[in-house]
Amino acid sequence: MTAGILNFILWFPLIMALVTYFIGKFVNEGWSKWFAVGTVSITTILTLYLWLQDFIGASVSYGSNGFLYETRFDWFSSGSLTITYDIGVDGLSMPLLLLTQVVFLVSAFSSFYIHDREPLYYGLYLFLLTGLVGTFVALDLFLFYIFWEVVLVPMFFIIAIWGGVNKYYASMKFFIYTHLASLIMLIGLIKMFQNGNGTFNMVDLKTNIANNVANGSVSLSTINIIFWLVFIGFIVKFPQVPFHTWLPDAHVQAPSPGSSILAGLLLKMGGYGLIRIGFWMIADTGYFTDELGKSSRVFMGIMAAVSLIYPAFIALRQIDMKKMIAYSSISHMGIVLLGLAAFNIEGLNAAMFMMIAHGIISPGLFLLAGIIEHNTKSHTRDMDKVSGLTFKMPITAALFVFLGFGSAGLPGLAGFVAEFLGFTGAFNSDVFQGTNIWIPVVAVLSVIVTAGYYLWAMRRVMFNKPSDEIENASFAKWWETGPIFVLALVTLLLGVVPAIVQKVIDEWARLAFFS
Amino acid sequence: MAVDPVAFTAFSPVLALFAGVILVLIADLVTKDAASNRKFVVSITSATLLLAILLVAKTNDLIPSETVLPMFKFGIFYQIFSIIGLSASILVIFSAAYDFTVQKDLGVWASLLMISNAGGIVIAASNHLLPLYVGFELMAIPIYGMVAYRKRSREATEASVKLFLLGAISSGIIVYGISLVYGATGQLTFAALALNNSQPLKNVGIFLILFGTSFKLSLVPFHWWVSDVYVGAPVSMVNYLAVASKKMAFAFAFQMFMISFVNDTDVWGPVMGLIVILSILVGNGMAAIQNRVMRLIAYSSIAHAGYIAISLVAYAQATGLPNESELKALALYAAILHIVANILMKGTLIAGALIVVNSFENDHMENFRGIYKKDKVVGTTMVLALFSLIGIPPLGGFVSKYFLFIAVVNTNTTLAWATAFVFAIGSAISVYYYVKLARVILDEPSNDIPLVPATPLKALMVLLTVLTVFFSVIVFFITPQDVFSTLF
Repeated sequence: MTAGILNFILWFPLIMALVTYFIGKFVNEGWSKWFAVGTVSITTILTLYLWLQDFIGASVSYGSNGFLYETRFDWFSSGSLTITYDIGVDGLSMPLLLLTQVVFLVSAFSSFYIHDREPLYYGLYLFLLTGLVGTFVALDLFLFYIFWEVVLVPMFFIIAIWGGVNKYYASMKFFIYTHLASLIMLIGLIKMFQNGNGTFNMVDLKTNIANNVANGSVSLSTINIIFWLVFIGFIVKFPQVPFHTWLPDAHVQAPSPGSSILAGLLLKMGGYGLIRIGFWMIADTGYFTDELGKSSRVFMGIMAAVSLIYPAFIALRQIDMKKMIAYSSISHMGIVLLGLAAFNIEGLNAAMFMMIAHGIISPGLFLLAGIIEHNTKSHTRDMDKVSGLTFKMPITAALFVFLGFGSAGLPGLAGFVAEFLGFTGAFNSDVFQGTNIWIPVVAVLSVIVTAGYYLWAMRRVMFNKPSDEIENASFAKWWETGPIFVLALVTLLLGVVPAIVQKVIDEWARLAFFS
Repeated sequence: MAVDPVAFTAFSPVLALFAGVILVLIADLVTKDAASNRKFVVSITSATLLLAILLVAKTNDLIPSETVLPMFKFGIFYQIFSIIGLSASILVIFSAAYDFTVQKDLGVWASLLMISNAGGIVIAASNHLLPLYVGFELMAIPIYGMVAYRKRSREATEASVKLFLLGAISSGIIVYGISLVYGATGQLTFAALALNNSQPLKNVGIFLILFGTSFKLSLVPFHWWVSDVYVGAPVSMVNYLAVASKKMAFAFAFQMFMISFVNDTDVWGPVMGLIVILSILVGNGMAAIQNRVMRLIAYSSIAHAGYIAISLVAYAQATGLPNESELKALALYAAILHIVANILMKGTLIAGALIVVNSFENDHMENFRGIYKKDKVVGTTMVLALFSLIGIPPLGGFVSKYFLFIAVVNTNTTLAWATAFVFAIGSAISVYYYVKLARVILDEPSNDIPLVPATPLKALMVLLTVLTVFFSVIVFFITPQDVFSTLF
């Protein structure tokens, strides 16, 4: 039955996307948003149910091949080419699945300000949900690739139709960048398939590749090529310097719910893909403890360190609030890469926990930026023009300060746990010793810059004298701040009791990489 | 002379087509009223094409006796490509009925179309270079007349003359190549040519045939005629060129290179790889800067011809690998998938373009602005076709591209890798212009000229789009095991 629930969570939004669109189009335009909220609520409750049933407790009891709620059958099979329909979750995907539902529910409420072409918007919104859920639950590379690519389309339209001034440029850039990366990843996936006895099923492929390496028919240098091909594919979505230039454009131009999904979930797709396909699937070959893998990890560490510090400095000089948060996202995703490069239990914990923490905090910040934009006189997010928000919009300001501290890594909030684990992992890692010690050192120093731009932003926007721009600003509406309040609570909860998520992650990481 | 029943059955599709030609010409003479004329012509033509499809399908149990028909082979290859060509032609004649430039004189146009199709069938059935070439010419010659249908238009005349001259030259090159091959080997049947060892004179012949074929397939650097012809010819002619005749030309190329020169892959393989890489880059690059939709379609079809020809590269690179026959079958399978997917999405796109050209009398991109607002069906189907052309899952274009990627990457040679990367880059470039067109279609209209109503055409577009959307489902339910095993 639980397998049925997972299938339902995956496909129900797609069916409802059509229903929502046609109801909105032909019956009542205003109903579409309630259909969307209702759909996401149902899937959220079901996901929570699954979580409470199986992921709370001493340990998760996975099925025979390490997954829960698995549905599997052959889809296309011809001797040397097998494609399966295979979905299921484990300790890596389940937290992300829950995060997906929460972010979608929150963003659905925050989309209420959209009145232009509502049916289309909510239809695309639910379509996007299916794409994202599918990416996280697919256990077949073909299926994974389908969902991975499908996500581009609704996101492209959400940016291109409801976006800001430069929406065409931003949406096109987003599309082309990520599409090219996907195709390079696809070549990597096919290379993987080619060395894994003709199946696209991830679980089988993982075993086959490990066996082939063990018996010498596939060399580690081939694995190295595969790793770099998929790495390029995922790192663009991730994104890390120097592949990050699409992100500030897309985030800034997208409507705020779109930015929140971009930051909260689309970046996590890259992280998830890298862990699932780049690491999980080839870790059994011993690649990451080999010299080749170690040099790859050092390179990843350098990339992470650069991505931690360089976007942080760029964020420091931004005056557009959304752009600042966008650059801070790149910087924070650096922790994920750093943790992966460290490749020890702390690092992997940090990588996965950072995805959850950042997935909770940054959507909140983007939505707050959206609220501020709607309440200023000339609809600006310019931090030079907007100031003194505490006087006019105290709740919004308080939430911004709270989540800003969360993002900057204040102890007691979710971001800190991930950063702490990440830096511990990096300093303990076998590859960041000796001369390479500069990598974690630089990474740690980035925290100062992060604190710098957040504090400065808060001082300018929240605490100065009220500027003319916010003359008419008033308390934000319930559906605007309410969901963000929930996100803030989760941030606090995860900061104080990280174990509720971290336990699952930790158990999975030990099982998958260090057993 | 007594008619051999086997030969009669084997050639019944061609005979049916010629009977259809005569019937259409008579019907064209008899009916005076324009509307009923059109109705008669379209129904006779599509009925004939349908009959031909049925007859082709019936040859299933026909065992060719070498003594009766030594030059032909009626296998699965013949069936697949004949059916593809004939069904694409039904699509073409159906949309041609709504094309203002050809509908005045539809009878002659339809008869030329059927003659050309008969050529296509002969190509697919050949097992010998002579009928292969005869079929090829039979397919190509009616096209020169069909392109020149806008008699008073300078563009059309230019296009037709250009196509005729270049087509004649390329045919000459092919014949010259065939004669060199014959001179070198003394053989013309595929089986004998396949066995023959490579030697310099034969290699020159193969190169000449490769270049001539590339002309017909509109591959770079033999692509100069394409954009002018696409702009000058009537839209339904573009439909025929892009959707039907080019697919038959691919049957020709596959017969030539996959079946007869199968042991010379080291001769034509690398050159084909270079041609494919150039086609993908130039086609996509040039398409990105066009502002006339027909030119955009022309360059994008150059790129797509390159994609289909990737299967030839994969085929050539598979030679000598341990699982050679499987990889080769996969290459051909991927090519067939992309051909079918391409018919579906190009057919939709060109039908939409036809509606716009009918309404505005030209194909400038500005005229496509706001089609979605003017007509939801046309707009939606065209946008889906564009996304399918990019290769967004789960649409048809994605599935076939995926298989092409598998086919080429699986051979694991340097050239295959280069091709795969160029394929990826080309697809990424194609996002730009397809999405640009999609955005124009979805934009607010810049004028209030209504679209000419054409309900049957819209129904056709919907049908093609449904097939595109459920392509993966359809593909995955015909068991590929059977297709694989029967392809060779």
